[in-house]
Amino acid sequence: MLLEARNIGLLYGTEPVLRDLSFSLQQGKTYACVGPSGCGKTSLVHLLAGLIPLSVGEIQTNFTCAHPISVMLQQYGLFPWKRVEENIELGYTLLNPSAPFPTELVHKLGLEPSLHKWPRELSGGQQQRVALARALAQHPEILLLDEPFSALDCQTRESLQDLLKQLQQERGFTFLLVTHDMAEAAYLAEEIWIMPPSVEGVIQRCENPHMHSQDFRTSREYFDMCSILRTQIRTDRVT
Amino acid sequence: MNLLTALFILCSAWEVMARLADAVFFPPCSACLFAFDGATYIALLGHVGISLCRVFAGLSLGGVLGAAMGLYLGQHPRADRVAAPFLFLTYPFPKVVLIPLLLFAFGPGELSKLMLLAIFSFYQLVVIGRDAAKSVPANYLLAFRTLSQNQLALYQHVILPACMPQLLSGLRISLGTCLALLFFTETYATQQGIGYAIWDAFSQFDYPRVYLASCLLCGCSWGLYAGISWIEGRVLSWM
Repeated sequence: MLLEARNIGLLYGTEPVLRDLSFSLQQGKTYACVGPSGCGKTSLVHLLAGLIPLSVGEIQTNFTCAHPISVMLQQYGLFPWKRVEENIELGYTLLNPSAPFPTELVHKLGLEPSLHKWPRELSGGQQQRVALARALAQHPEILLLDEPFSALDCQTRESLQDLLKQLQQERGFTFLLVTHDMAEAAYLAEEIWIMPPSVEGVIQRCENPHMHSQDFRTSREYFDMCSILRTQIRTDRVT
Repeated sequence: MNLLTALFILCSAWEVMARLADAVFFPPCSACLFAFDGATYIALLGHVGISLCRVFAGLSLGGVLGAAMGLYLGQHPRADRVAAPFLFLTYPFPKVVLIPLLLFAFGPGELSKLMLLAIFSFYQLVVIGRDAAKSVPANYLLAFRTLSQNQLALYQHVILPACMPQLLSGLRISLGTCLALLFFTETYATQQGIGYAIWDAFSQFDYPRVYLASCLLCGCSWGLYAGISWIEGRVLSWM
């Protein structure tokens, strides 16, 4: 177990955003968190990343490195005044200035020809690859992804989902993907959390045991999983 | 049309108008720019050098301190709430009115001149820096906070580069007024500087020398302006 959250809650002023959540993240497992806009998905990512303090409850961790959590944001989060290479370097030089450049990772992400370009010269998909390279260059134990592919076209989104899946299998990191796209959650995550539309509700959990099978995207199990998620969300909405 | 062509047209128009006017206070361009011996040019260039040193010192001291304080205030609302009333109370005060006070405080030498230019640049840059730092997009700040919590690194990698376009524009705007103030400070208690040279020539009714020294002051202004544009081209090549 890498991280265990017990009865955590988050208040913005006096307004509760998250209430009484309990979950754990296991080493090498992939998670997705789906739910409607405003249900607190992004707040959960910010909370786990330490960007906002916890209001209630406790989080226990069992990390082995100094910077165990990396975050990949929806809006790429690249700095336009830094070239692609410098953006990637910034991910790890702030932690360890003498760390070598992640050449292999950059090669896998197909970013070699773009290293000396400015972010504005890249397409949305390429920018998101750079953001992924920057996040993974820190060698995180947990990667938090806040709707990373939502602004991309369908083809680019699918190719990046494949890439993320492949890198996760090779490197064995844990990730928590926050998304409103149920198909994306069904394709990428072994465990899917369905956030309730209001703070009073409870998180529903779905196991997705077939996601490692060959050609999963075109398999019957994949479509079944999407249907289960849709039904679950509809039930949540009605109740 | 390039700069040299425009300069040639301006000088030609001056020459023609002066010859048509035939007035002693409006000598033609050729009588002003090319009618002196080498010693006069060397002496005037010496004055130019001293004026440039004064501008550079005043702008650097006031500009750097102003920009640093502005960037700090823009990112620290609590400090801003304390400092803003003082800034906005004193900002509209015409800085040239401070000359008698500065003469009392620092004497008639270089220090009072330097302080006047520095105070002026400080106010320009503190206001511009503060507004620029306040408007740094939240997604850049968030993206950096996912990488590091180091405040100094935040300024180095995010806030300063993000505010650089506004700071350089502010510097460019300050430059014109700074030169006007410089001219004013060089009309008293000094025998050095291009302002002194213009005033000295005027008191001797040496009109061609007045025009030549004024042209050199314009040249200084243009050179500094071009210098800032060059820096902009280097520093803001990402835009």
